[in-house]
Amino acid sequence: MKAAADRILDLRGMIIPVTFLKVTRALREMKAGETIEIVGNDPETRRDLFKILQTFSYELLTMNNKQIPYRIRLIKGRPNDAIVKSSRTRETHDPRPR
Amino acid sequence: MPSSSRPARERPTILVPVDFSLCSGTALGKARSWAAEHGGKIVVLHVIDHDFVAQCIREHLGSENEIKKTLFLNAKIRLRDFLRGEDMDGDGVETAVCEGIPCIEINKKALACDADMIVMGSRGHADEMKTIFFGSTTERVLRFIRRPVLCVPPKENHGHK
Repeated sequence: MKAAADRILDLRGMIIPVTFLKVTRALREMKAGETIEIVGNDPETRRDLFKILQTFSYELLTMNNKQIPYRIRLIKGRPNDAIVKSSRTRETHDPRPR
Repeated sequence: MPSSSRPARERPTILVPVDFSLCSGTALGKARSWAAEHGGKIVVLHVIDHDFVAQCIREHLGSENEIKKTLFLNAKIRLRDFLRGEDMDGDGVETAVCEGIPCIEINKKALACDADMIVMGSRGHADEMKTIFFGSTTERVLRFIRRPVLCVPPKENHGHK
């Protein structure tokens, strides 16, 4: 995985539904294979983001959602790809014992 | 409660417009109590404000269709969660999401579902200053509606939210 995402979408200080509109716009503009890092602090956006993205093809790369601001990194898939939840997916900075 | 000019029905219909505010949650709770007592049916409506859609288009957040698609999906998810939070996600509750000018859409829906009563929160998410100068959605509904409206104030501990 690349160290830096192709795009960083800073949604701090924004709430739904504006956050969802910004994420869906960014995903529409991206090409397949490009990555995006979403940075935000609205808990409702974090809770419902993946429900909103159900019409997009993407792979979840990393999700650090245990702290604020949370960071979610996705890679866009091809239009006809199924949504993939990668085995690489992990929650970083998770303080719970494994 | 239901209009005296209309014959009483076996299963009265209560329309509850919601904007997901605490006050609309309180209104939903009142409607649920009333429906349980009278065996009524509840129709919960959320209106996506046409002005907000227009503002999103001006902000270049997508085409009109793309914006509406995202807003409708968001509204349906929030409505389902909102009802679940009020323990109202079972039978006997019908939901609807539409886009337009809220007071007009609420009146249209009241006629379409032949609502016997409308239960609304007195204060929603609308901007405080806008509400002071132009009135709340509830006040605008009251200007045109020909059905009984129960206006529910926020609980005291809700503050100004």
